[in-house]
Amino acid sequence: MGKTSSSWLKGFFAVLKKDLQSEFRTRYTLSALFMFALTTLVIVSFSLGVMEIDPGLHAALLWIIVFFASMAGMARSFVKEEEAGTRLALRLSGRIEFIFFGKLLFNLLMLMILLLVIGPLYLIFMLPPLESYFVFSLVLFLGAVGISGATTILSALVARAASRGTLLPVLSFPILLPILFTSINATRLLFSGSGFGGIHSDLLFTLSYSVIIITISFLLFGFVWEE
Amino acid sequence: MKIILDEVGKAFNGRYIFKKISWEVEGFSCGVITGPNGSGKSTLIRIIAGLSRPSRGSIFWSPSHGEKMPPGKRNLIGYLAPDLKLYGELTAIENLEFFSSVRGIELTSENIRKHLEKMGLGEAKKYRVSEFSSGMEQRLKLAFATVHNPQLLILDEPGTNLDKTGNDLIEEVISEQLKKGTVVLATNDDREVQQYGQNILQLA
Amino acid sequence: MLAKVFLGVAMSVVIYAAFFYAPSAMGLGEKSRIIFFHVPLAWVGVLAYLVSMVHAIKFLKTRDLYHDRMGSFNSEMGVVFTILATITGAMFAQAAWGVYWNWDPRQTSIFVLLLIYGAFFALRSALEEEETRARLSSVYLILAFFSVPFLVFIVPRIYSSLHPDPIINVEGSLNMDSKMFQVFIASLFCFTGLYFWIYNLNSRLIKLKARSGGDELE
Repeated sequence: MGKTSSSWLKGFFAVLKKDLQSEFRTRYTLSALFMFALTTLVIVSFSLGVMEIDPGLHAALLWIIVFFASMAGMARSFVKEEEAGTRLALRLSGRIEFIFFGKLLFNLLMLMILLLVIGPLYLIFMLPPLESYFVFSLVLFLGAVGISGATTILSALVARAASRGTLLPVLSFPILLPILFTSINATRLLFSGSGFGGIHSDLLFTLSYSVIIITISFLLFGFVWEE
Repeated sequence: MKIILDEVGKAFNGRYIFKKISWEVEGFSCGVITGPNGSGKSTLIRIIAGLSRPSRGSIFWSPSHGEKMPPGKRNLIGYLAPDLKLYGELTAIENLEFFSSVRGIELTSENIRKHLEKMGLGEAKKYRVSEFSSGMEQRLKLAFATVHNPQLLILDEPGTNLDKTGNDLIEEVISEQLKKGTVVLATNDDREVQQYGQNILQLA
Repeated sequence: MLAKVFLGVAMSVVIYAAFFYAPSAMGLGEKSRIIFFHVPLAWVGVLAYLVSMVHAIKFLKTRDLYHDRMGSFNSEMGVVFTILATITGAMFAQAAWGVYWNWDPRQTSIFVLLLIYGAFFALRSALEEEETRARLSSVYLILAFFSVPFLVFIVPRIYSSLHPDPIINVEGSLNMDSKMFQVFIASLFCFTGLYFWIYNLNSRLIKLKARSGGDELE
């Protein structure tokens, strides 16, 4: 018995695996994400019809859908531990890095699944002009990294608080603003015909900001998780 | 593992539950905390488990055999309390497997199976915890507290929900633990106090 | 005692000077006088935030609730100053450029500061237990800080590509003549002094409260 690299890897993915198993059974997070995103998309598509709209508006709409859907779904990872009462057991046993990155990876995976569906759906329903699907996916992916990165520690905060529903958007908004702005801008440029070259600085911003936020939240996570 | 409490006090929102508790539990011995409801037994036990910080005073844990205290004492401590809950949607085995991985400890399924059998859960190991009776759940919690061979075993009202066989199991576990480490027991049960109480801390 | 009197006198002098001593800025007229109040207000709002952050970090290190109380009080002060700064800033923007809001770096960062404060207070009001509330809100304050420098860099780039009209926003484009500059600096000092006076008062108040009733053991 001892720490080998394989047991470290196993531990690292243990939380992710458990949350995925739980999600597979209840589908709670995915339903929240999809219900919200699909409803909003349908409303948008229905009311705007075949109108040709400005690329900036397309970008804004897409990311509004993504942002609010995330708010509906991201809190779950820590809130469910709180509600099930398992937080104590997890605190007693879990290495902090396993917990933080496990939950982060879970949230990221959930968001990626959402975007895998909503991205194409938006393109189909709203028909914004787009040349490179690959770059578009990159923008979505980096946005997802940023959103899940910031909301991990915030959902741990919200889980301890009383009025959980409205608190996550309020807390996330200032911290996610840089990600939203750069992702919206990059998307807008893509829909205006720009290629990778035109948006690479936005992508760089999103990536570096996400890395910084994830690092800082990991450093601070101990203060939230432990007393 | 030896535990030393030096004038420990804990307050919530400015009101102190207890103040200036000083106590020592020697390695390989059993300390008993007792007191009426609301006297702060569970609060103190959480401090001893490292789950909570004292508002005043300090607490020291020194591992046995003169080792230095490792940065994460999590794996040296086993904890059982009424508010502990395990994952209902997982089976008994899956629960213990999960908790061991997340501790960074390598435990074979064989080890876990044997441990569950020792706890009287051999039959039930493949059932989801949500289907357990309260007695079975208590046994699983005991398994959770001991499967990683902790140096310090902390038990808050371990006899809850247990029948005579269950209580015998507790006795067994405690005497085994005393051979390789320390036990701290919080209880209101006079019988338990009598049985283990060489070193009693009476709260309020 | 002397300092307070000096501060009071200095403030009055500044207010008078802002309206009568300093000349009005070229091209902007009397409306530019708001600069003497707007910038110091914004500066103090930011200062209060930075001080709150220091208290947050100190709290996490020492777990002394004094730092939590000071931090939250500082934030309360900070919000007030920041709201005033936002309002005066919008008034100035309207006077100078015809729009109340144009997302220039300063306006954006002031706005984000308000959002952060709002979120901070929302979080605190949702947490009952003192120690938990202190710990969690300190973490949030520190984390939220990191969004500000990023926004200051990102927003102007994006905004200028969206709105290429000549609404250039550098406040330093006001060439201040020496009189204006004097009043400006004096005002800055006075507001900072005001801040520290309130800070000091409250620090003593908090310590007194803790000694007399709040904490039982001393």
